[in-house]
Amino acid sequence: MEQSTSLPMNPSPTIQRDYVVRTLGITRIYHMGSEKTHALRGVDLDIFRGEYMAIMGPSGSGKSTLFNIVGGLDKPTEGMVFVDEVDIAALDSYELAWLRCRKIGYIFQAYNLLPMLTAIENVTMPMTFANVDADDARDRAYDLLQKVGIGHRWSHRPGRMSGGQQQRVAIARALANNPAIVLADEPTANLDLHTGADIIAMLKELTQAAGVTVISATHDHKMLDICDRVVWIRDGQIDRVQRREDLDIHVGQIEEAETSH
Amino acid sequence: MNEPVPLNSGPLLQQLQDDTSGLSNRMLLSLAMAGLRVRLLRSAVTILSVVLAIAFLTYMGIAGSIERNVASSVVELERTFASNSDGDRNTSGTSSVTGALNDARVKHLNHEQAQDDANRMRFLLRRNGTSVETALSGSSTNTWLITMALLTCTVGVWNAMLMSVTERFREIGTMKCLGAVDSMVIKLFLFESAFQGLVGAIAGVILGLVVALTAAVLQFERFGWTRFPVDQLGKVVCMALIVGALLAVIGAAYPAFIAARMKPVDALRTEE
Ligand SMILES: Nc1ncnc2c1ncn2[C@@H]1O[C@H](COP(=O)(O)OP(=O)(O)OP(=O)(O)O)[C@@H](O)[C@H]1O
Ligand SMILES: [Mg+2]
Repeated sequence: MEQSTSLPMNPSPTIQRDYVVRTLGITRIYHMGSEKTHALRGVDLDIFRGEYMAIMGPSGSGKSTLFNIVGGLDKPTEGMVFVDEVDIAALDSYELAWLRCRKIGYIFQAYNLLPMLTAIENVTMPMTFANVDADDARDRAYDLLQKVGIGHRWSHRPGRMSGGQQQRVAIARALANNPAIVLADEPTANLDLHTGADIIAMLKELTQAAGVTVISATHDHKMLDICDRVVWIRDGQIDRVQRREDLDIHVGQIEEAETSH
Repeated sequence: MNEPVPLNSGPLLQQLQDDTSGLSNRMLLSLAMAGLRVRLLRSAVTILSVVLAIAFLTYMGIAGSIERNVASSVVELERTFASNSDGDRNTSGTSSVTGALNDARVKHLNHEQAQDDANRMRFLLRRNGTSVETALSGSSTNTWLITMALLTCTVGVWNAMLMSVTERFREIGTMKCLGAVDSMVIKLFLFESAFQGLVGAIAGVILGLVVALTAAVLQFERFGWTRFPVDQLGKVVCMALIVGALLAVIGAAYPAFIAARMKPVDALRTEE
């Protein structure tokens, strides 16, 4: 299922086909009574197809807000968001559901598996939403569970799994419909160091094999070792975007950058 | 850098139309079942309220029918009794003498039997605080009682489903992130509720029938048996099942709507 071929577009010379996400001047203002919170203040971000992008920044800087907007869960107050060249701010709820189902895989901090379903049923669910034939969906779900290393636990319910195991199921579920992007908002925050490292390595490996773009918000510095680029966000604005190669030189500054705010 | 052109008009809509939207009923059913299994105690309580309401409805329907049957039997017996007396006079001497005599004897026996039955039924009706006339006219208080019982039950289901929805904000939000459209969420909750309603209605019909029959035999002795409204049985059972499922669906309508209207972000923000 290759998205770019199923969505033909007007080839405009300025559009590079290998951008999978582009945001243009997005702002997001939360109104709470008379008080306004500027969670995002004009974010322009281009993400290439197949890259692993880490989003870092202090707490409250707007990472989750950016995520929700890119993931079609929330709409920007202003600006445009293109996912696979589709302006998602202009979609209605039915179209958004379609987009979430087929283009985007989500991995949550709290795993968010459906507790009443078994591991394999959880992985099958997005495929059912996409009208995949039941037998095919089951086969694929089992394959994915094998890939994340918990094929033997396919019939277990989330309540009987450890956090790391649940997050593996969640990774399998996120990849079920061959999404163009996987959004992972602090996927390792609830895990211990070692398990977190495993999950990150697995995410990297699987998405690279499938050519999937990963966008991951994190406070976890292990993520920096494997990502392609890092976006630093501060006060709802992009502070800087760095490639990992450049990052290595400034390793000492990372701690500083995170704690300075 | 030029701005990219929004392209959502053509191809995406085309693809949307190519999809036959949504979740198979089988998957919906298994999801609803799984949901019920997890919240077994609560769904048992919800089902119980439906059982009671439908048992009451069935009981009222059957008991009322029996009473009416008994009353109309009285009227009918007394009428045949009267016409038989006429007939005796008219037919005597028209056919062979022995035949007429035989007929008359049988008639006389039936006649006495009928009179006894009629009197006994009149008595039983009076003992139960009613009469042939009131039983036949059908009282409106029953309709009231039934309506109130059903309303109470609907509100009960409503409350239970509302709790179920608030409890599952996260689950619903997650499902929406995975691509569930609003109509699926609505269907899921309606399915779940309708299933509870149907199970409750089946149990309620059985309970109601047992109670109605026992009461009829206690009240009307053997007439409770013989005047049992077999012809009404199918109608009453069907109605009870439909009403049971319907009130469960009505009770779930608003909660399902709330669930469907939830935004996935809000759902994800609620921590467990
Ligand atoms: N639903 C909301 N209503 C009002 N304000 C909100 C809402 N969600 C977020 N905010 C505000 O927007 C800002 C950015 O929040 P956001 O959750 O995006 O931060 P974050 O970078 O994800 O933080 P963390 O690292 O702690 O997860 C914060 O100031 C927060 O208070
Ligand atoms: Mg956050």
